[in-house]
Amino acid sequence: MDRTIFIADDELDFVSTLRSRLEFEGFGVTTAADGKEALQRIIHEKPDLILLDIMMPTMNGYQVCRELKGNAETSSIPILMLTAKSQESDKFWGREAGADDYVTKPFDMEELMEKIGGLLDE
Amino acid sequence: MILLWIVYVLAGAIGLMLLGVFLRETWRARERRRFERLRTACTVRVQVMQYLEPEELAARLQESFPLPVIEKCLEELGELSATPLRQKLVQVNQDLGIVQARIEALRDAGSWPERAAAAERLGRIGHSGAVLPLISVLQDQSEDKQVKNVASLALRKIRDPRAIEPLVEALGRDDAAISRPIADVLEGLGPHAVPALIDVVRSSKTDGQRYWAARILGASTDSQAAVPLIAALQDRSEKVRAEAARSLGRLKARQAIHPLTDTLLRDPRAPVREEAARALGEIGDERALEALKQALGELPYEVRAGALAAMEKMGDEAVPLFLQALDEDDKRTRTQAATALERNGYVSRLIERLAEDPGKTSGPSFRLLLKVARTGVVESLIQALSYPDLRVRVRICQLLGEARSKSALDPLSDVVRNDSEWAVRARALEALIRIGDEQTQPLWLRHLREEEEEVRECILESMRELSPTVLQPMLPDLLPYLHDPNLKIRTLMVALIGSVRSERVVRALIESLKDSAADVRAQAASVLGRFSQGNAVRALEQCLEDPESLVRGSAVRALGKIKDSTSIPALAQAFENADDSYRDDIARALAAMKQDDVLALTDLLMGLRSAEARAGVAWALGLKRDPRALRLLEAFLKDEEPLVRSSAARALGEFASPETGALLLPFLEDPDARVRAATVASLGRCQDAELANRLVPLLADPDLAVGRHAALAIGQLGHPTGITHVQRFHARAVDPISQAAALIGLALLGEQTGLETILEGLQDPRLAHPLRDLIRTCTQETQQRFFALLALDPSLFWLEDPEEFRSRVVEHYVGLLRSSRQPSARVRAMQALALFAESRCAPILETSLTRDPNATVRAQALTSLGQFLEVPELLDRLVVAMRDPADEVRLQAAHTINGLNPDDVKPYREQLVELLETSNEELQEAVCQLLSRCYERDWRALADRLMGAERTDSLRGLIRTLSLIGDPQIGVLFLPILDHKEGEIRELAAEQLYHVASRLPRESLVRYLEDPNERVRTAIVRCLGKQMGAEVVAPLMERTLDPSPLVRQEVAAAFGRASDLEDEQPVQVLTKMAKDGSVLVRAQALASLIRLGVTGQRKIFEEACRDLDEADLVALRARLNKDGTLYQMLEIMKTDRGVQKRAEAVYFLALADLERYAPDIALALQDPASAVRIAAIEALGQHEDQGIQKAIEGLGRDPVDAVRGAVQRRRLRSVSPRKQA
Repeated sequence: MDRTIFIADDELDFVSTLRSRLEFEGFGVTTAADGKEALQRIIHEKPDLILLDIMMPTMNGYQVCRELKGNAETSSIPILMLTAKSQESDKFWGREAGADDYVTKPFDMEELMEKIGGLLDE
Repeated sequence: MILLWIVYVLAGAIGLMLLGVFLRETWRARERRRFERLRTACTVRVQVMQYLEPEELAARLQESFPLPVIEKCLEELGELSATPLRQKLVQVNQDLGIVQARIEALRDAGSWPERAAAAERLGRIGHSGAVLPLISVLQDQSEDKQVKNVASLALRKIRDPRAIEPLVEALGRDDAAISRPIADVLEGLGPHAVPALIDVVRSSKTDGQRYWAARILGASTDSQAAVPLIAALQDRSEKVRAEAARSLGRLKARQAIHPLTDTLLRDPRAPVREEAARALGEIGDERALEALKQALGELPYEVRAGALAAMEKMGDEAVPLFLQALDEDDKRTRTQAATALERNGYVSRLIERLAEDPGKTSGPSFRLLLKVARTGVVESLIQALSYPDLRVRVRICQLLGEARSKSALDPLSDVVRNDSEWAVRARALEALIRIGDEQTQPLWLRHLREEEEEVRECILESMRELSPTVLQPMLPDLLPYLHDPNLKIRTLMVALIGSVRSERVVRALIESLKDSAADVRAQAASVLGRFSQGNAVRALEQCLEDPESLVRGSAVRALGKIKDSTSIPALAQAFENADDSYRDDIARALAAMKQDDVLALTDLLMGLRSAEARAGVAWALGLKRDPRALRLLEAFLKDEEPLVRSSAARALGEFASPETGALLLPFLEDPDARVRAATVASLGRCQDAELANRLVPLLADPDLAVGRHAALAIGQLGHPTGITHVQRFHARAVDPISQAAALIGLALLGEQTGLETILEGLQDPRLAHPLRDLIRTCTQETQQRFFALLALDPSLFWLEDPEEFRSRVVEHYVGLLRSSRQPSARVRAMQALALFAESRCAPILETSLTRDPNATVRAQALTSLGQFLEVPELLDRLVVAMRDPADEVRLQAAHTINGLNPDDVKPYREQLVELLETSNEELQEAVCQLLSRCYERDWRALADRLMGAERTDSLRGLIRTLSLIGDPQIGVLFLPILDHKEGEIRELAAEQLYHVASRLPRESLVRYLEDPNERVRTAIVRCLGKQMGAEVVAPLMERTLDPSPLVRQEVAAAFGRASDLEDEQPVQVLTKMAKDGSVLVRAQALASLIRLGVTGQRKIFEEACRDLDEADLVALRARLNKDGTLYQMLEIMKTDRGVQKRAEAVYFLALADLERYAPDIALALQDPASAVRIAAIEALGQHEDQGIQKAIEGLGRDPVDAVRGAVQRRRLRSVSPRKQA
């Protein structure tokens, strides 16, 4: 398996936990800790799936998501939004921005794996 | 003292008066008491005796009580009692004469209160006899208004069925003053009045009476009324029809559904249709929906209103129709539909569905609700702002914002203040800003401080649509957000404040040029381009050194906008580290500067160290197109770097003038291919068609790019000789880019196949890319020319998906065909559609064929249809084209017909016969030609049609067709046509007879010599003369006296063919005709005589010319020349064996046209026969030509004496007919 997953999140501890788990599952992993950087790298690298945190420096997850979904080259890449916020609005806005699914932090790692598997199968 | 007395007297008088008053009142009270007592007694008596007959009761009462008591008593009882007793009491009133007395009072009482009282009494009594007097009061113009009011009320109280007849009758007076109260009375009478009213509706002659009857019937609730009312839907009066419809609705008459829908759709008057619509709604039967739907398309608002009101009563069935009505043009209709949808709860259901609406604001529920909201019907939406589901609340905010609904301002503000979800607050704020009421500004600004970035972004994003004047006062609140941690917000902010012109903004933007994010810096640079302040320019110049090319590019474009010449050096320098994304922009920026300022810096520009910079400057000079820059460009052309030379060559192309051609030509041989290519491309723009010849050799350049540029350039120059060279280049080209270049070149040269191949090539993935890329590199003007030639929208040209391209292009051409005002574009569109062979385009082509105002377009429509329609369909279109008023179209129809293969058409030849119905001769000829081949073998099938044909055009065509077939048996068919009533047809038949009638019985033709039409007679004479026989001589001789010279001429011709005849008759006739009143007849007679070979023409000719003047002589001569008679004489003169004949011929020619035939006659001077030589000498004796005179002198030694004598005599003779005359 050489499918790659892009993690955009500025919580470095969380990213490293997630990276080891995903690499264990056989995915290639690339990361960025800043919205703007994530956007540029994703357009360049075209990963198979994106885990996108909402609260990031420079650009937030929604903005990155909107840009990616508005760009013909990246619009088909599934996006899974991650957030520590749990308001109804957050979930809604993510969908509005074009996210394919949504996970609230802290989450069960197995649940996340399931969702990743589901999105990749589609 | 006297005063005292006066006081006494006054006091006494007052005392007496008071006493009198007191006494009178006491008496009155007593009377009243007595009256009351009697009345009570009377009432009791009536109740006791109520079972007596009315007359008896009346008599008894009269015995015991005074009349006023009885009257009062009856009045009260009447109001309280049940109907049977009341009716009896009415009769008693009558018997006692009370009714009569009141009627008299009503009519005659002097004061109006008395008359009013009488009227009121009559109403209370309710006797039918009062009806007419009361009506008279209403009609009496001088009557007091109060009395009328009372009378009107009184009428309504009369419930006596006997009143029906007079009332109905009174309706017939058609008087507005009385009709309404009468109608009320009749309505009150209920079912009793129905039969009489039905009669009226059916048979009254007065419109007003039928109207009121129909109206009252509607209130009757009597089902019998439906049938006559249905019949009344056909009434001649519009008012009656409308009222009948309304009444049917009130009756809820289900059996009226069909008639009412019929009225709804077909009645000529809108008010009637409207009432029918409303009535259908009242009845509420869904069978009517379809018709109501149709009525929505009706124009007058009233009808739509009726239909909508009707539909509203039908519940959910009608919802689709309301939704449809939301798209109507008329605002009132839309609002009415929206209101209806809101009232019946559909809007609320849509709101519930919003939560599940897919696709954000493009979902179906959202779009429908938006239509509703735009009508201003927003009550339900506002209520839904507190809906539990967040998604619904968000969408509602968006809807209200998009609908710019002012009435939602307060509710939305409440949402912003109180909603717990930031997503809702964000959208509510967005809506408020869109609605744009300044009152809510403080609210926006307060919420800019919200922690949630998305809310801030929403607010700023929405504010971009606000005008600078609105933004300016808010600057202090906005500027801090230039330091927002979120990059997008900062970028947005820069863009937002950039619209406000203020020093403060400039400072803020310059500050933002130092932002950590390139996006913000680039945005700030770009916005600064709107300010021309010096500090802005300096800051932007610094930006040219920015590490990010995005920022540098923005700065370059901004400087280009500011056009401050001081930035020229910095811009030129910027070429050094420029990348492709903005190199052209630097050139454009430099070109935008004042050219004097640029040229002043020549040394600096020439001395730029990097080749890129020099090349860039050269290009910039080209963009400016200032002739003063030519010198500088010439210098750049000699630069050692090929990059600079090619750039300069390219720049010179921008001047697009023949003069630059001379500068460029040497560089066609530059060692560097890039320079050659640029030179070729630039020469292509020089507008000197002759240059094309210089470019032809470059088509074979070893560098492919040069060849391609040459192909394009030759196309641009438009020299027609280029076509063959470019075609050869196309044939040679192996790579798609070169092929594409060749195609474009050919297309630009106006080559039809080039254009068509391009349309095809664009669907070929191999060619499509190169074609597009090459066009992209062409200049704007060339592109425009190219697209104009293709009549194609440029945006479609760039479509890459072949399927999409095809469908959109077809769509485009269809659209063009429908709406373009340029006939040439419509023609091109049709050519393209035919190329795409889209048979589904046939209908629109047909529309063009029938409706297009331009004849060329219609003709092209026929051509295009011809390319893909089958023969039978095509024939149908040809019928249309043949009736076209324009020659061009009919001509095209003829061409199309000519192009048809008879074998293909044969199965449909019957249809083809229909096409004969045209008055255009050329067209008909084409059809006749084709038909004659289709019917070659069985022309009898056509013969039947000949007998049945009625129209002149068809008949003419059939005659022509049959004569084209040319079977000798056909002739007989034309004989009956000689009796046709139209001269033109008879003429045609007679003319055609000549071709086919060799076996016709001649006797049958003779009688047509009397035809009133001269041409018919002429044709018949011709027929008869075709084979002269003894039997026709007599009738033809009669014709020598025909009034028409045409006929006489033909007769002369006929006798010319009578050589078989033994007798001398023809010659005699012709000799006589040679003196005919008409020159043309004379000429023909002469010609015929010559044909018959008679001798002595000279004399006859001289006779014929004797009385002619100059003009007639010319005409005669011309005629003889034209029909070959003189030529024939010439032949006789040269070759005939008869000496006499040759001599005669000489004389004849000399007489006829000496000037012309003198050289020929001179030949006769050598004739072996002396008689001929003498004739020639006599003929030419006076001729001025030296050569001829010499030849005559030569005959002075002729062995024959007579000839020599003639030479001697020649000066004395004169043969010119002119001189004789």
